Amino acid sequence: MEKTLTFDLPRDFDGESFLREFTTAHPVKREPVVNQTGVFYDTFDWRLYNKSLTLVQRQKEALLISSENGALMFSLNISAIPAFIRDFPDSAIREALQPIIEMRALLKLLQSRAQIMPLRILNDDEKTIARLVLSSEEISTPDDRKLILNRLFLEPLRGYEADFRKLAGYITDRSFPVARQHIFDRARKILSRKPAGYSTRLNIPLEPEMRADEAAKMILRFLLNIIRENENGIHKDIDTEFLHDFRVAVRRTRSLLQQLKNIFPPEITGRFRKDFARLGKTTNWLRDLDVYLLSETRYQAMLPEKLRFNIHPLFEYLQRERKKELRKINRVLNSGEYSQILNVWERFLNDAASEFPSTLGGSRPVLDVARERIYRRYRKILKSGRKITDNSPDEMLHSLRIECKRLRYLLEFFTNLFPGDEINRLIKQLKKLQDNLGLFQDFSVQEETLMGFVEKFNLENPENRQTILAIGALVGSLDSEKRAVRSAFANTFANFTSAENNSLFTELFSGL
Amino acid sequence: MNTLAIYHFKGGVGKTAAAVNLAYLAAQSGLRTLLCDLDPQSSATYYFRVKPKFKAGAKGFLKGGQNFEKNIKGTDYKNLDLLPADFSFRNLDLELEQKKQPKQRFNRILSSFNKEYDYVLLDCPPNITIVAENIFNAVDYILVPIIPTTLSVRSYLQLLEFFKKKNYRRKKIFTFFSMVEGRKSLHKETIEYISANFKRVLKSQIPYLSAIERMGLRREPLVASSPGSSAARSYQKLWTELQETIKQEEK
Repeated sequence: MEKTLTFDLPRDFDGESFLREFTTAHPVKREPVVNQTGVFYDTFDWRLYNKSLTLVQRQKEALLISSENGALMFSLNISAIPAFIRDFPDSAIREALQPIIEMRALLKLLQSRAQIMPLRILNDDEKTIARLVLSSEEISTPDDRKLILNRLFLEPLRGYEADFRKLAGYITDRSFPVARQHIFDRARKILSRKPAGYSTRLNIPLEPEMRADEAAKMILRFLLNIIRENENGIHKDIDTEFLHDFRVAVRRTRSLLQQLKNIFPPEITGRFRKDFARLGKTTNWLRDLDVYLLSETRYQAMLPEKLRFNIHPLFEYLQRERKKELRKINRVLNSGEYSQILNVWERFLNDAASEFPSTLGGSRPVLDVARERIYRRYRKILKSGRKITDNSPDEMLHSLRIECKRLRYLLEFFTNLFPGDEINRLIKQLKKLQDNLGLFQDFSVQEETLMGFVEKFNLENPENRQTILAIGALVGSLDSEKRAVRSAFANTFANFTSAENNSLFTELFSGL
Repeated sequence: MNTLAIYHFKGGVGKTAAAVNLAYLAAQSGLRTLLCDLDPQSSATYYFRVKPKFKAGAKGFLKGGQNFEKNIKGTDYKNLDLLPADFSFRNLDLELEQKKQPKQRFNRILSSFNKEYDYVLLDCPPNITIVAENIFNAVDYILVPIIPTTLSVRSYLQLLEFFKKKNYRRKKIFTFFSMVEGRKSLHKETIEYISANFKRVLKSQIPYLSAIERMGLRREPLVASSPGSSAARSYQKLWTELQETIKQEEK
């Protein structure tokens, strides 16, 4: 079945003269002109745009359209698109969007008002064989910048594909370009944030000969940007991922400062390590609360049916705590102290060397420093990991996890200095090990935290007894999952330390 | 997916008019609907302005699969597709006779529409051959229009007898009165008699209206062209009553 074709029309497109010409060759029946509104959505990190999808709310329905060819993929009768996928009614569109959007909020990015002129194209029986739609659309942003888009849609009708192809040919002969662009691209001029302009993926264009300190500053500037970009989203409590991205950027900043100690003057490293450590620590509890709250459905599924609803008071408690914690964090982010830290940091990162002294270590070529640190970190992981047996204390796994994280950050910071395929391979292998260790740690922490929550529920109150029971059952369930993950460690580590991986690491980083 | 055959072995009772309008109403209600024209006269096909051509003919129809893909046409109306009939369908019986289990072939045909459609209506040819028996076996429900006259009733009784004899599910059959002329006392009496003595007789009636006859001129379902007309409203009522009765039934 053919798909609807969308053509871009020039601003000076004369609809009537086009139609006059068109109708001499193809009889049409005009349908009443329709006024159509649309609101276009995407997440802060452009998840739909990145997948060439357009999500639009029309008067009474939500549509998911492929921006590659304008084909309608899913529709849903609904009067307004909810901010979160979990609030969509059970539907094909929700199923399709869930893995893409996950827990991010859908933001209104563009609005449109269009005049639609639909026409039916007829054959000699006066049967409709295709539809031609002319659309003149005024697009505007939330801050009122506007743009006009004129488009032509050619919609196929089942069973009349040959006719459709002929019509498509007729139109392309008129040199109207097929609209392959996403509406956000068409609206680039008026959008305040550029489509796909936000990504947390580290893709820093480093050159091997760059000074290590300059290279580090490049990376850190990118991270500072991420930190700043997410502040508003945290403040407005748009979704949980603003805080998450903020924290990851802080964590990466700290990691870089810690792992490349000698490239900056010790006063700088010392001071900012402390500042960012505090910043990370302050936001720990809020992030934990977010994660637990996102886990409610998962936890319910883990519980025996009888206790499933009894876990709810725990989440009500967590919601209350979260409200308090968010207010606290917002005070921190609005504080003079916070602005000062970031402003001085920014000055340091942008400064071309005169205001702050440099070190010998800083002037080394970044490739050398990168190789050295990565290789050293890798060897440490091998050493620590090999000591771990089935009976080793949990602590050793937690330490190994931290080591792996450090290596991962290094690989990501310096990814552009190394051949793409190889380094991606290594990152992928490392990720498998990290997933195992991360999962193990998650379960450990969850068990502990949940047991801690029990304290908040007074045993004397009979209502709380069921809740406490539910928490206990949850801890039990988590513990058995934890043990399963633990037993998979040996194999996972063996895979990571395979001869193949080892020779790749050695080849890329040992400098030999 | 629900399947409904509009059937009577007597011609000219308003089968196609009903099939066309009920299919339109099903589509309007949001159901992805397919109207399958099985009558070699291809009247339903004509009403929708589709050319009476089925690529690969009766043989192809029975083979199914890609043949449906190649022949299904979108009507001018949202959610409503048509599988056209052509003159070669007069050979469906002959073709079926040569197959194994000749009365069960339509089960497979209908199930191939499962994924794409919520409702399939069959506009049946006016005969009581193997094609008809296939239909009786395959569909969920059979809607039988009868003109409230003596002869028409006689045919209806013959149909019920046939069902009984061949052990088809009587519960599948629903009846409604078609081409009713309220002033005629024969019609009134017949309607009273049937309604009193038989089960599954729908209360909604389709009156004899020239608008319905003229559908052939306008070539569109009348519920689409004149939704407020009394003809349209009678089909609306029929559709609603049929759906509700079925829902009650299935509880």
